[in-house]
Formats: sequence, C-alpha cells, structure tokens
Amino acid sequence: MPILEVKELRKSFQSVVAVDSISFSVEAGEIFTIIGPNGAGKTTTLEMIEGLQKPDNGEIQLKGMNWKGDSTPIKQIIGVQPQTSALFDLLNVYESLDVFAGLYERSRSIDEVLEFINLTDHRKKFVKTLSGGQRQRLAIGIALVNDPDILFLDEPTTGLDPQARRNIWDIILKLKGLGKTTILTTHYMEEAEKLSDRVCIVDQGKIIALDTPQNLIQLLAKEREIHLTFPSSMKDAQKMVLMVKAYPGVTKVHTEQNKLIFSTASPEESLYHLFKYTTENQILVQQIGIKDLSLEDVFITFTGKEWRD
Amino acid sequence: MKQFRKLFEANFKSTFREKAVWGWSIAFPILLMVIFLTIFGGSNDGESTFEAHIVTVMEEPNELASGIQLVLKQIPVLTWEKDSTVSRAEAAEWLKEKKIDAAIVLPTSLDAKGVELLLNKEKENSILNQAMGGILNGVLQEVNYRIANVSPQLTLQTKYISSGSDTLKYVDFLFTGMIALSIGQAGLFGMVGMIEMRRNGLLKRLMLIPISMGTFGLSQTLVRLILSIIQIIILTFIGVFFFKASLHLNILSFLIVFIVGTITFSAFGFMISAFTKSMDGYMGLANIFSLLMMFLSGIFFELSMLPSYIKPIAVISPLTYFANGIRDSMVYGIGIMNSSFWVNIGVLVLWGIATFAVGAKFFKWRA
Repeated sequence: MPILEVKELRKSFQSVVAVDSISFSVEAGEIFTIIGPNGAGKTTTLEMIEGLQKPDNGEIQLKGMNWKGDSTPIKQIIGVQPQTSALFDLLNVYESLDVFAGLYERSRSIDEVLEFINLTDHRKKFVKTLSGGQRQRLAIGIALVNDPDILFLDEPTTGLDPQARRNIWDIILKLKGLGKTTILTTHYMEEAEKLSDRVCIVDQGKIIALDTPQNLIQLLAKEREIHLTFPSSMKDAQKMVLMVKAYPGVTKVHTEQNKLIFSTASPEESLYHLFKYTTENQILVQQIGIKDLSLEDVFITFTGKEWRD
Repeated sequence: MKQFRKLFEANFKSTFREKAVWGWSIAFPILLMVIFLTIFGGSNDGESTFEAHIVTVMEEPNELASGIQLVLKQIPVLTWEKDSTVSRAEAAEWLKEKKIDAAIVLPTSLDAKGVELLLNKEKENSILNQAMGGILNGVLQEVNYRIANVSPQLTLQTKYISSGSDTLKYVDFLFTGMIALSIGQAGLFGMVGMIEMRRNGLLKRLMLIPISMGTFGLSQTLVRLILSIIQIIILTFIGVFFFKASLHLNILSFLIVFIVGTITFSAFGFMISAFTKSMDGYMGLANIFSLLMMFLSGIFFELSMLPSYIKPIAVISPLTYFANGIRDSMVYGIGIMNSSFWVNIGVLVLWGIATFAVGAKFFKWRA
C-alpha cells in the first residue's frame, strides 16, 4: 500500500487554476520529487498534502488517513520544511529543536538530530546569525524532531551555494537510508536527477511526466549526439562523412574543423563500425564524446519551453 | 501542558531577548514618567510649592500702613525681597525685571481708602497673580475687622475633596496614568512580532504542528502579562520611592483590572496585526491609536480640561477606563464592590472582545 496517495487534486484561486487534477502515489522509502517552473503549482500541491490548504476537489491519503478525520495523527507523522525559513530568530539552534520537539508526542533526541544535520558545533548559535545553508539544515532538523514517516522538503536548496547544496543532498540521502519517505520540490534538474527515485514534472498545474529519472531520459534517448576529434587535419573527418552517413540509424552528419559530429539512434552499432574503420586505417582519435541527455531535455521536450531556474 | 510550556518558553525568550521590547516597553515609559513627574509633579512631598517674592512700598509712613505690613509679614508663603519698604519707582523697576512677583503699595495715610497691588502684566493670567489678589483681600478684610473692632462670625474653610479617601496629588495621578499607558502601549505595539512571524512563515509552520492556535495565543498572553508585571513593579517603585506617590492598593480589584487591561490591549494589537502586512504599516497604525489614546484618556491631565468637542473620544477610549481602573485600585483602594470598578471592567472587556473578534475575522496566517 502506498504511504501517500493523491487523487484528482484540484485547486483554483479566483479564476486561476493552480493545480488541475493531479494524481500520484508514493511508496514508503521513496524520494519523490516534484519539479517544475515557478508558478507550476508545486507548493500549492505540497501545501494541500500537508493540510495547509483545502483542495477544491480530490482526495489525499497519508498512511491511510485523511485530513478530514485524522488531522492530529497525520500531523504527528509528517515533518515539513517550508520554503520560507519559519524559525524563531531569537532562539539558538538547540532551543529551536527543543521547542519543536516538545510539541509532539514522539520525538528524537536533540543531540542525535544536531549530529544528523551537522550543527552540533553551532548548537548555541542564535538563529539570526546562521548562514543560509545552516538555517536550511536547521529547518530540516526541525522537520525531523518528531521522527516522521513522511518528510516534505520544499525547495531546500534554493539560493544556496554549491557546497551548502551538497550538504543538504547528503542529508536527504541519509534520510533515505533511515527508510524515510521524502517528498521534495526543487528548481534544479541536477538535484532531481541525483536524488530522486521518481520525478514528477509539473507545469501549469498538471503532471506532464512521471517516472524514474532514467526512464524519463530514455524516453528521449532515441538519438544521441556523438562527436569525435582527430588530431591531424580536417581531412580525416571529412573523409568519413559519407561513410558514417551510410551506417544504420545515423541521421545527421557534419564536420567542424577537425571534429566529426553525428546523431544516431543506435550509438553502440555506429561506434562499433567507426572504431573498426579507424583501427584498420590507423587513424588516431583524440577525443570522443557522447552527449548525455538530462532532465532538462526531458522538460524542454515535454513542455516546449526553455528551462528557467 | 508540555506544549504550552514549550510555546511559552519560545515566546518568552523571543520577547525578552528583543532589545526593542526593553527599549519601548520598559525604558521609554520610565523616561517619560520621570520627565513628566520632574516637570509637573515635584518631588517635595507633594506639598504646596506656592511662593511669591514681594516688596511693600510705603510712600508716607503711618500707623495703618505699618499695621498692614505687620500682618503681611506673618504670611508664610510670601518671601520678602527686601525687609524694609522701598520706593514705588524701585518696586516698578523690580517688577519689570521679574525680580519680584508683586509689590504692595501701602496706604499713604490713616484715611486713605486704597491699597494698591502691583503685578507684572506679562504674568496677568498666572495662578500667582490670582493668589496674590486673594491673599491681599484676606489681609485687608482682617485689617478692616480689626479697625471696626469686630470678629467675623463666618470664615471660609476650603478643603479639597477627591473621590478617594486621600487627597490626590498630581504625582499619584500621573504615575498611575503612566502605568496604564505603558501597559496599553506594550499591548498595542507588542503584536508587531506577529507580522514578522507571518512574513517568515513561522505562523504557517505552527499550523503544521499538532497544537491548537488557542494554546499559542494563551502562551503569548502569559508573556504579555509578565512584561506588564515588570512594568508595574518598576514604575511603581520609581513613583513611590522617588516621587513620593501614595499607594493604597486594593489587590483584588487591581489584579482584575490589570489582567483584563493587559489582555484587552493585546487584543487591540492583534487587531492591528490583522489589518497590516508590513512592520511599517503596523507601527503607523499602532502609533495613531497610541497618540489618540495617550492624550485623550486622562493620562497626563484631567479629562475635564479637554474641549467638549473632543471629549467623545475620551469617553470611548479604552485607555480612559484602564487608567481609571488602575488609579482606583492603586491609589484610592477602591474595591470590586464599587460601581466604577464594574464600569471600567465592562468597557475594557467590551473592547477586548470586539477587537479580538474583528482581528480573528480578518487575521491571515500566511503572507
């Protein structure tokens, strides 16, 4: 049974439809990422699941419970890190965790949480003096104090420097190690690709794609772009254009100085023939590249829009 | 209970670690009270400080003039600039220089009818001039009786009666008013924290926690009460020990007025936070209410001194009733059996309920 089940969720603000019949389910232990541009409906979807907003339509089930009947037990088993900092500025790190821990029936030890979010050395530091990354880690720590089954992290890495982002990634992966279910929203394709078990791409309130990152990319991976660089002159590259064009699956071929660039639907086969030829003719290949497709390409393919961070 | 304790702890630390709270809710009222009491209250036991510097002018020495002079010399509030009499020109000069407050020109002969009182024109409306006229009238009457050799049957005995058991000194009036004002202001301005908590999402965050918002509100209220207790203790200490204010505490009525007032003004602040989105907006609106109440609620001066067209504001201002309630219970020792106590409480409760209801209706938990 899925730990979270969302059916036909719909929410509009006046005439604007923010979320338009979104359905998905998440299994226990998954990292489930919702990505999409600003205003796609990510936060609204999340807040409806968290019970902060009432959906106009649709059903939400968390561990078999719904907000109508079981709001208190649901609150006990979820942990939320909201987009805004939402901290008491004049408390220190330890006090912040301690206050929130005291509001739940069940709680983890504060020292354990501090260790987990790597803030043990800053336990006495006031919230208002923390760096962006530290604040975000504390917010995640607060989301953890009640030892929740499901965690909601709303854009935990937005606005952080690369190092701080990596620290947050480590924490999220550690959470998976603990068997927690994480629902994550993000702006960053790289992050979604790296962390998620499954990715749900949302645009204009609708799910446009939902699968594992690899599967999503493979949907597009019919053609890969390959380029070979030769050390000598451009002669070698030009010599091979016609030959490569004849390989099965190859669509476009062209040269750029001493580079041969072509697209193929069957990269393994094309490369096999090509290397056979270069070996037999003793042509030196200096560099070879196969362009990786990313979620960004998936997004662009599905929405026809440029990805904008 | 544990939830309440934790929320109280968070609110308590957030409030008392905020320097602005100490500045505006503690230091500012103290400063204001000390300034007002120093200027208007006087610290010399609250006794009359009336004092007039005078001289007498005797143009032609005679028995009547000497007699009047003798009577005048016995009046304690008159300070003699010069023990002997001076010339009219000299007296006029001193008056112009404001070296003396008044000069009395004694009669020139036994038959002379008039005694002249010379006063400074620029101080025409001062209390001192009126008092000098009164004093001199009394003296002349006394002399007239002596000349006629009769003793008066009726004499005027003035006594000031205040509504309490003791004479109300200005110090008492002002220091109780200041206590009411500072608690009122702490409430009006104190809910500004809600704006920041809404802006940074903390209010929304708290809704994700299995607590009722009532618990949160209650913990906030308890913090406001503690702040008010600190204000009362400090202001009362300064009023009583440095300015000799009188204290006739009726504990029961005081506690009720104090708790109801603190909650009412917090509710007022809550209403302001419901109508404003930014810190500046909140402070602006709170300042308007605060200024209106400050001067139109009988804090610094009696309501009877207000022009009639402005009195309606004083009549509806919650601070009027809070100040009255604090005064009644701290200076007059008026208990809960007195009808004025119930009027004060009633109006405060009405304000509290109304502002809370309006606030709750329009309050938004999220930015």
